[in-house]
Amino acid sequence: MAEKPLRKQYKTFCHIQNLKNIRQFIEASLYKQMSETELYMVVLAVDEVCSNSIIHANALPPHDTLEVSVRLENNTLCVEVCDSGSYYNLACYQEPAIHSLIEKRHKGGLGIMLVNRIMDKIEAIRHNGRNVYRLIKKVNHQ
Amino acid sequence: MNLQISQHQTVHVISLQGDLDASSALSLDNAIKDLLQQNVKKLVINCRGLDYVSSAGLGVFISYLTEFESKNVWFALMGVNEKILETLNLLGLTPMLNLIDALPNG
Repeated sequence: MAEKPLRKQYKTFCHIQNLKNIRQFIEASLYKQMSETELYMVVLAVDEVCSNSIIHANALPPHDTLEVSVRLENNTLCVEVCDSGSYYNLACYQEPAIHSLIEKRHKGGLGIMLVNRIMDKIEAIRHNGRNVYRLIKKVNHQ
Repeated sequence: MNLQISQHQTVHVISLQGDLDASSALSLDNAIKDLLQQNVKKLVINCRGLDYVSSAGLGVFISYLTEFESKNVWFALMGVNEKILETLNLLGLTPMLNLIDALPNG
């Protein structure tokens, strides 16, 4: 018999202090569903997308909301981050060279690079006036 | 995240505890900036109590590498855990950072 898909949802205000709560939601939702290191990396990828929405690309106001949903089915993990900021296509992000970031003393630029390395696929779509960032990864089920 | 600054002989140590993320990276940035203004020559970030580092924290580390070199500051990360090390490896940052297990003498 096919295993029941795992589905969880979380909604919070777009405040930088809520990043910790989002990380805890992902950790709790996917606890024992993959190795500890794999889970740490997924948490990191989701954190990067959420912080990007809150402070960098979309600069969302604190009263706005951010929705994060997790779905795990047939060893495929799909995390969606949904916000209402200006559309930013993460999937088309051009990676800077690390040496160039160091030389220019840039603090940013590493986040989406990490997401690209951790997840198998990133999709960014605009739907009903909201942005949906979809992060997909095949996981080794525990 | 908790941040504490201490001095062991000539080495200044910034000890971090908890999560270094987008909400806490600024306090590390300010601490490093202050120590550079005091002309420190040896700086260690003690990561033993650090559970999590996002790109915001890593960005602070790498943004100072050029300045450390130009000001002749010896810089190291101490006690980085396996998951944080894995993150550094993913970005190819490991060869650019001085990773140590214990404080140097002197």
